[in-house]
Amino acid sequence: MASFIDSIRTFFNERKGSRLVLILLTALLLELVAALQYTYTRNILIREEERITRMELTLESEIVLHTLEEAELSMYENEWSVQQSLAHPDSLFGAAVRMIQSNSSVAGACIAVLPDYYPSKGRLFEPYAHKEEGRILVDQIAGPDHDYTLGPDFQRALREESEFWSDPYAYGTDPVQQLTTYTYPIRDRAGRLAAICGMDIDLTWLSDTLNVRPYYPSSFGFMLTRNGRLVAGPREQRVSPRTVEYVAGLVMDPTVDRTVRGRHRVSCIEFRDPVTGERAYLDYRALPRDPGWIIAEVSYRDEVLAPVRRMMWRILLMALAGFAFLLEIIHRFARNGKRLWEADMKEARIGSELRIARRIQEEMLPKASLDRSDLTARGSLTPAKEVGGDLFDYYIREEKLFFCIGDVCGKGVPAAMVMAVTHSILRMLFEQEVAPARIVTELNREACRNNASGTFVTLFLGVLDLSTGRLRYCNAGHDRPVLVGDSVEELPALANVPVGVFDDATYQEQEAMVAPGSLLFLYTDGVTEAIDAGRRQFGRERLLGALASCPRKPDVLIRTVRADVRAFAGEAEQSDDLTMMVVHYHPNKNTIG
Amino acid sequence: MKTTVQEIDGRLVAVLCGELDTAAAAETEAALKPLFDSDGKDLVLDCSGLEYIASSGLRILMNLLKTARTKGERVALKNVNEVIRDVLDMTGFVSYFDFE
Repeated sequence: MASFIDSIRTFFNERKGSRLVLILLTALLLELVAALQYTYTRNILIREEERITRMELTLESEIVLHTLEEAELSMYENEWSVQQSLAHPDSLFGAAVRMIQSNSSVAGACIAVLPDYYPSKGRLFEPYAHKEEGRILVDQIAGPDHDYTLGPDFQRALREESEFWSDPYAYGTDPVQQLTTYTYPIRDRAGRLAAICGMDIDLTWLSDTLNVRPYYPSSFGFMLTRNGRLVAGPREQRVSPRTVEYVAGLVMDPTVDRTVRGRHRVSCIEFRDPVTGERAYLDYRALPRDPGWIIAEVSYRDEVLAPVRRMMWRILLMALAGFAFLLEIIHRFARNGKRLWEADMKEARIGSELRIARRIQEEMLPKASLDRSDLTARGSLTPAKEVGGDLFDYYIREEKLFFCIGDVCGKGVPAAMVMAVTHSILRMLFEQEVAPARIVTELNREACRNNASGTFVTLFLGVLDLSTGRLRYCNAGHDRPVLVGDSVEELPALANVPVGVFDDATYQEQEAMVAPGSLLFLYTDGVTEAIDAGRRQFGRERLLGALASCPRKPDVLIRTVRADVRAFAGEAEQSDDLTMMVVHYHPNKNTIG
Repeated sequence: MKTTVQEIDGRLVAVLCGELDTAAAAETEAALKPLFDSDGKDLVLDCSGLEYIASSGLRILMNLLKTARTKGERVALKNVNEVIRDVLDMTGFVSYFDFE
């Protein structure tokens, strides 16, 4: 976890700007996608609610309408029978019974005769039949405490002389019935208004029909008269009467915002449940004909949107997972970035060390080639990736050529520094001494002082008398130079111990004559120990072979050997400095003394 | 490069196996510490398995030699192969070691 935080921190520390923007954009995109999904799905669900509600309301309307129409049809069928019975008042009872029998939803039927129509019956005469406990009971209900002429329906019927449905009303005590009456004026054969029929239709079943198996668990339905009076609704145990009263009020309140949809003209109001405070939808529709009752349905938003809410958790989880995935990618990216960055730093540091070592090395090498009429000297140092500490030098004093080639054991800055010190001491000794053995001995004494690390230097040092061609030399553990003349031979050289090993070491010097025109080829073990891909060494044999078949010119010698070594090494990386030096002794005949 | 040290007949014997190049130099020098710390016991370097020695390897031998000399110990090289013998010849170290 710590490395996780660490890498995130690194990520933010490097290239802050663009990466931060990238993260924010991606997070934003994820949230946007999630939000879009939510909105889209939510809208789908809301539209589904509307559709379902519309369907249900339409269905319920049809059921109610069907009931009403059936009743009307029954009434119409019974009209003739009632008309026939008008002739004999007592037969009206039978007519009433028949009205009940004609339709199962007829709970009661009454025939309110116009006042004084039957002189024999007195002013009021109202045969009445009703269903009770499976039987049909008949009665004449007009009396001093029941003057039906005072009833609003009766008066309205007289006034309008047309049929209509009354508003539903509660009837009875136990059980309480919800009834509605179809009021129908009856004319006699002469066309005179004779009686007002009333067919009571039981609508008690409507409450349950509106509330059975709601699509959304807490939904409920109800019906209102045109005046807003509740005639069917949910049971008290299920829905608080306060809520029902409230929504009924909403329907009737013209100031409440509502939207009307579809060809069925369903109105929709959004509101908050007064009891629970939950947001809900109220959809209602008026019956398209008389009596224009209003059928309504309430559904709760939470239930409507429940699927999307469930989905939201899933979406949120997926977005979080996506974000976590993103962070993980960043983490890896940053970790790699950090590694690469550290690697870069390391390489830069090594690079600077190498540069320092190389600079030191460059400073120590002779600045120019030697080109005299009697002498040509060339040196070449091809450094390896890690500087190897090779050195060579040539210097002329009093017609003597002081030259040397050396190899400091080790690599990098430490080796370069030893090389630099060695070079300085040699230059100083070149000024003071002429005997190679003494020079090397002095050098060794200096080198052994303060040499705790045991760094030693292999060295070949020679002093060539340019006037005579006499070469005095001392080899301190270095590769023997090759004398290239008519033949190619190694210079016979004793292997004195390298410089810097034993402070009491003795060094023997040797002598040889360098024939005019011959070249002395000096090298370090970077040449002979150059390896190819199969870890085989270039070796002395190959070197001698290359020198043998080469034109006797310093530049050519160096180039040829370098090319040969490169060709041999092939793909393998150069592991040590490739150092070569050539001294070409070509005195004029005149200068030989 | 594998280096093991044991005492045989009163001498500290180090067995060197592999190529003693610059990469292996540091760990080999560390492995040879018992020889550097030896007090008066003669030292033997068994080079039967030593294939190659670079200048950094020579440096270790040289240091060992110097340390041994101050304590009067002799250093012997055992079963040195031709390549290594050559290097020792060339660098003049050959006269400072006993060869077995």
